[in-house]
Amino acid sequence: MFTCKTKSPAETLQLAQLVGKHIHEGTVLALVGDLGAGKTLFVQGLARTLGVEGEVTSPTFSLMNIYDGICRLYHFDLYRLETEAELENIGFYEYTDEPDGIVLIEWADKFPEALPEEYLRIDIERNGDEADADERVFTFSGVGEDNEEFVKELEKLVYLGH
Amino acid sequence: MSILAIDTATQVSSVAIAQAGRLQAEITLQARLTHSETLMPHIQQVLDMADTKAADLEGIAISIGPGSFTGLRIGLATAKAMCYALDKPLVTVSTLAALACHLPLPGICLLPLIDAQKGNAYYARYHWENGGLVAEDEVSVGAMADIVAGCAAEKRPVILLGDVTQRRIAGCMELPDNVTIAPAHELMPRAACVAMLGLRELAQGHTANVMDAAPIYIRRSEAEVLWEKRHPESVSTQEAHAVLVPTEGKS
Repeated sequence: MFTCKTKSPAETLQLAQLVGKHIHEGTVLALVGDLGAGKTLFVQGLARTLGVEGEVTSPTFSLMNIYDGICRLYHFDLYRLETEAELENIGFYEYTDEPDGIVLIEWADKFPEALPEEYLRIDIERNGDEADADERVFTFSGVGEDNEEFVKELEKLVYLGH
Repeated sequence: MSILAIDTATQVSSVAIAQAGRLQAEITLQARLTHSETLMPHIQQVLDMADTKAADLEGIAISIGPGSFTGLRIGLATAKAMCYALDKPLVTVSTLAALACHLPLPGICLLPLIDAQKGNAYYARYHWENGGLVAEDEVSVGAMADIVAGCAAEKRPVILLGDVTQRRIAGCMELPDNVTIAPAHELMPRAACVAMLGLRELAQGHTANVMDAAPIYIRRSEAEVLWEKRHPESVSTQEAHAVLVPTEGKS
């Protein structure tokens, strides 16, 4: 697990690009953070890096968007769901069980039990200081051996790059 | 008179035109494509290939599940919309029964397994008798490993079919001596089988209501899900055994 800071949306995009360059196909990425934390901005940066050309917005009402880049991206937003049973109704597990691309899940912490055995988690938090309203703290953690390795790799890249 | 058959219950997208005793045309693909994008063009193509007009169809047969939630809904929504617009009867066919039509051999237990996620499979046993397909039990959900291990108690050869057989069992799991895996080209659903079963259903007048037909979704009860969460070590093994292993053979 490691933590890093971004000072502006532009820096958040840069961080997302860095993750996008190194993320492995088959990864499930759980994004956790309040409204306005920057989850969707992060997904946008990641998707651009992975070659997605069209519009990338939060699927708050459609629940899932699929983008075609250099691999397929499944973008979920669980904000509107109320019970875990609703995940079955949207075929959630069909996408997270051995995914054929990359699965990005906003508000993943709403249903922690529904997450697969292995996933990458990114927590995004505001600094809390009014003077640094654009500053965000990112915490990367990996669940499962591959994801733990990936987080270590990312930590090196982030601190070499900054 | 021909019928159109559709099977989108798994990652295979398959459409066929058939009449009694004759398969006229079929398109079957297992590619990384989205059913919602390919299904309608394939239906148009298969109709053209069979030189059949949609308006002349006798009915539409749909593989009703169990299977992928998304796939089943795309297939059924398409079939319903076409039946409604063209005023044709809709017939539903079990995805598992259609798979069991791939190997119509007597004396063998056919066990189609369809992905139910998290190591689980939808399954039911079938056999062929006097040229007819016999379902031996209701469709159930169980832990894949237990279903396969439970086959050892069968006193006859068992052949596994279905998408999880392709993805998770072939080459990944030790099989009991009496269990084999269907040849690769017979493992996945094909609309031709849905068409043949569908023609029979239609001839018998077993049509579904276009307004309220729903896919077969089998879910574990809330109680089971809760039990599993509290007892992660004992993941639903009993359910699989209850159906597949005769009580006397359990000890």
